[in-house]
Amino acid sequence: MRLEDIALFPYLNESSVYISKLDISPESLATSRAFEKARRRAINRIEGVLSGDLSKPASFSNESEILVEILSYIYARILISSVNEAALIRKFALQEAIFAHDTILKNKDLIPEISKDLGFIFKDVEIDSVAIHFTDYIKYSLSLKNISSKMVNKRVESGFVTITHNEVARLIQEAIRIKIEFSLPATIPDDLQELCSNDIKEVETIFNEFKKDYVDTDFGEIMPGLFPPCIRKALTDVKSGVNLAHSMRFALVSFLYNIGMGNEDIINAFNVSPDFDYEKTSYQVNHISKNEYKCPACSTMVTYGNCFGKDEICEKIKHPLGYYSRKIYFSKNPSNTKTVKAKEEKEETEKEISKKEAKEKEIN
Amino acid sequence: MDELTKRFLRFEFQKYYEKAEIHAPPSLNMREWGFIQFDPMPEIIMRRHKSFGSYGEMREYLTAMAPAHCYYSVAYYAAPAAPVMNRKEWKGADLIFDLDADHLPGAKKTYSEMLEHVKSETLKLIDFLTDDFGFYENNIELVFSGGRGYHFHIYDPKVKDLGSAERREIVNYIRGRGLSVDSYLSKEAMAGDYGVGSKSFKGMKKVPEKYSIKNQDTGWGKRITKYMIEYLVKESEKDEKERFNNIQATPTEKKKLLEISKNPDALHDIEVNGRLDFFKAFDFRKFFKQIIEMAADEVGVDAGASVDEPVTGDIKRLIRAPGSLHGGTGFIAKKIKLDELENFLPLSDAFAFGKEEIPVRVGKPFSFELDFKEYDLDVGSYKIPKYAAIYLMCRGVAKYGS
Ligand code: SF4
Repeated sequence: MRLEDIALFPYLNESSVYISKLDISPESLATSRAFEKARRRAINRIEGVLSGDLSKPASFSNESEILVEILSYIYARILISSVNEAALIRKFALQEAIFAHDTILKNKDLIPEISKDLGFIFKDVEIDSVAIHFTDYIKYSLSLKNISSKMVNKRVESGFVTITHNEVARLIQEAIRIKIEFSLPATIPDDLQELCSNDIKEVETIFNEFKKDYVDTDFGEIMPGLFPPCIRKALTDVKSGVNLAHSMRFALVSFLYNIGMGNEDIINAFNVSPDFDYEKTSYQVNHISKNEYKCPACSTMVTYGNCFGKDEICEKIKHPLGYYSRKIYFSKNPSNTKTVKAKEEKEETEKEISKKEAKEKEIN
Repeated sequence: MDELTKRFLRFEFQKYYEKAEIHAPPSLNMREWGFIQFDPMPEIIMRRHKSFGSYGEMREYLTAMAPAHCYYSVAYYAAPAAPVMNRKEWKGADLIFDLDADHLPGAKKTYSEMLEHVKSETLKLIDFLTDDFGFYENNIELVFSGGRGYHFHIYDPKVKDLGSAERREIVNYIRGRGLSVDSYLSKEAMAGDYGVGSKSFKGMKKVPEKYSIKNQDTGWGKRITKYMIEYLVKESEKDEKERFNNIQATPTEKKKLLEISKNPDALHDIEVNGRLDFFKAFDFRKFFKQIIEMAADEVGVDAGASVDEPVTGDIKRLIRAPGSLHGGTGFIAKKIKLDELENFLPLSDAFAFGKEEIPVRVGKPFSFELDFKEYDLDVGSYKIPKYAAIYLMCRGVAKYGS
């Protein structure tokens, strides 16, 4: 592997070998003036990870730049392990993995080498396909929810699954994510933490900042008891085997998706009637989640005759999601019911929705 | 079971274990063992968390204890004898398939009919294991369970560290769950003679489409293709009224299907090239979808939904030790070579005991078939071959002695 690649994929086994040969102690990494740049870059990496945009240099002009990039990864691991927040670890692993995915797609020559380093068993590397052992395929495709990714829908022959380069890049992404996530947190001795304490504090601050925004837009745990009447009715209908109108089905799935339910869970919510059609349902669900469709507003629900059992909260909102977040707010702050604060909350919620709407337009 | 019968069975089992051919599973010292004894206690107790350091130790235990049932873990543990699961340290597990007539749909036939049915599913599964998953025959151990089915132990190191979710995905594969039409049907707009720009195309509102089956030469693609051809041929041989009755198709479509099924060249082209252009007459997708559903039912391994999946997915389960005796029948949990399965007769080939007649007292009327002989016994005393007598005692319907 080229030195540049070691810098871009510092978690690979070949990279670890290279790094251990450098023989730089964590203590000197944490303190020596020579590594100041690497430490700055480590914090910059973590910022990138949290903002969902981990960018890396497109090229390096000399070996010392490469070294900075490599060491910054090591130092970032030390900081993240010390802060030890599950959400941060997950994000870190995911962003590295996504970066690898995107990079591989731009440079497919990397596929064999990286696959090998990750321990994939594969053969027949062609211009746009590769045959990978089914055990590797299953391990790293489990998180893929679309039906066409299931092994049963792939070309399978004598233990090998033939897939496209795009698909193998996706498996590599998952393998890297798992590899990094499971290797963290590393145990960082107290005296080393002491040496990095300023940088650790800085990462904590950045993370807390992130957490604030993050929690605000997240509905958190799913509470079906707080769903609006229209959605509750649709769910009851599904359970009793009543066929939903297409528009209601769309509203229900997009609602569940918007509040953060996973595709597979949504599909399972439909898996109650005897004529449940896995393929059809999962197609619809994936279609909605892939396009990030938003649940229709109350006015649309009314137009299509999907607004059922309006209650007094409905009077105050314009969107089924608004109903839900309002209920959540009340359930967490019971004393505020029907007070001025509730009014503010209503405005907040609506602002949030219009913010989301604006975002959605951007996507389209 | 009375005391005398228990003592008798224990004695007979002991004699069996003294001479029996029992192989230790790979990595014997990493397995947990569990036993059920012919105990005097009323309730059945499984003694677990036992482990053996060597083959000799294992044999000695079996002969000394002569257990009614004997199981070992599909998992490998660093500390197999640790008394609680989370201290055992899981190090991997064999891949297991359990095909049991108990859990097969519609299982209410006689014992031998049930076993026949499981056997046919077992043969299908072998095909998946060797062709699709590419396991070498010497990594596949097939065992008659001694009861109502067959077990597969897969020792391929590549499957050892798969987790439960991955193993369940393997079961989904062999059951054909989630097969999607669009993954097997490719559709292209036709060019050339019949396509855009040609004479016959003029005036057509829709561009004609050409269908073909993807991956018709391997895996599920091959199974679906083969099934479709067999289906067409089978239906074409039926009376007109009965033909294509189990699918939704218009009379014109049925006519077209019949035409194809009577045309050997067309069938050959489907099988070899996956070509389906004969179908341009109608919406082939609808027909193909029905074929896929039927194929999943017929060609997929019909391993009772409620059971096989948890068994394969359970990476800490115990499984009956091959070569040991099944205390509910007295039969051997017998290893079978893959190519011997076809001719294997569980109800004679798996006997552990001889033909010499011994006395039993039957406590309730009981009919059964063993070694091609039918028995229809009323309450009373009988002298019957030892294998049959022990079978009845193990089933709990007879006592030892006259
Ligand atoms: S008003 Fe809106 S939230 Fe309430 S039931 Fe009608 S559509 Fe649902």
